[in-house]
Amino acid sequence: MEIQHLIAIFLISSGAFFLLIGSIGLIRFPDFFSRTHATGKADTLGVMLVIAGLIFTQGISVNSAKLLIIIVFVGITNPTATNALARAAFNFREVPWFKKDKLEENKKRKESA
Amino acid sequence: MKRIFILNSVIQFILLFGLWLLLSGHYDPTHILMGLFSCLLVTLLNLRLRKYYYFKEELKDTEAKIKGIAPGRIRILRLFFYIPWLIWQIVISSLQVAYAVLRPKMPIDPALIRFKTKLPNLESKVILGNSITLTPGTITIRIEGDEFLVHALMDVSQTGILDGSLPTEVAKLYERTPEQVVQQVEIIKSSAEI
Amino acid sequence: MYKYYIYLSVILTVIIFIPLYRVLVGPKIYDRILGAGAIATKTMVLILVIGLVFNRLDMFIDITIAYAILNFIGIIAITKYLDTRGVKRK
Repeated sequence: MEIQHLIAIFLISSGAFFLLIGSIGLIRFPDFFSRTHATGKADTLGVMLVIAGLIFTQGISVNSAKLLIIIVFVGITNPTATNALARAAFNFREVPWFKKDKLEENKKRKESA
Repeated sequence: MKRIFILNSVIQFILLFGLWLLLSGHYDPTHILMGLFSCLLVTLLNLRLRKYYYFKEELKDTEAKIKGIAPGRIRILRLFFYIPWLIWQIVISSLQVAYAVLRPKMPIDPALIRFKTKLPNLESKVILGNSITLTPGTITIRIEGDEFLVHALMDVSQTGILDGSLPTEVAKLYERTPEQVVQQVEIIKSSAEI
Repeated sequence: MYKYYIYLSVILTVIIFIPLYRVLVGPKIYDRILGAGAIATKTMVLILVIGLVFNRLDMFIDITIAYAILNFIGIIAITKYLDTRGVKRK
């Protein structure tokens, strides 16, 4: 096993970890705007890390250049898509989840009970 | 007007052809001719789209360019500092999201931040918007004129915007010593205040 | 090495299935689109790893590029459509 394959395995595994974080975050967060944090950040880094690991397995070749293009493309488009979706949701009167609202709601429920 | 129009089309053609050369991987005359032909076709099809402006700022920038007072040009050397810094920020922000996701009791306290910036042109706003999305705990929701609306996940994550370190970093791509970049910061922490 | 990529593709498949919950349940249409986008982003990675398993990475990279572009354009088109329908907030 060469050193570059070890680096590749490390990068790909950590990338897969961040993809997993993105997936779990998408389910666990309470509202839409928090969920965009999971896909906008963790997924971008996960894809970048996995592809960087693949570049290490390929060495210097045409494939590596193409993979680098994919990294740059994902780095630009993923935040843009997230932003476009968040803007559409905000224009559509989607209200973010706030801690203060939750606390007030709990207080009201206690009073009525 | 016409000069900029033609220049933009030529740049687009060159970029498209470079991408073709990189992606095709065959360098015999047939493939290169095919690439030239298809890139020319795409550029010609795009000519009609280029007559329209989709944002007010785009029109303003073009007018400034025609008059010869283009508002700020990107400093290429600064990019070599900016991109590694941004990658480091992406790593930090992902670890922060991982911390928030993996704690059983989710330690989040979302807030909306509204602020105005002083940035020279449209392209810098695009860079700032995407950078905000990638840096710790914040996501751009809306950009209207100079006004940014940002969603922050935790209390810690607001600091990058409030002390103006990130917008200043973007402004430094254009000027050596930018002035006060962030103005009129407004923090919204409940649905009644929107 | 080969075994590692096989296991990795299995794990990635499991990771891809998680956001499907958001696509099926998601209270609003945005949550569904977000889930679909997340699935597409992760599928890109899966395609690349499968390419490595089959030892034909050069072919699968082109597929990945097309997939990334389609994903981006799809999300932008849907949000443009939704933007014309909503009542704008001031």
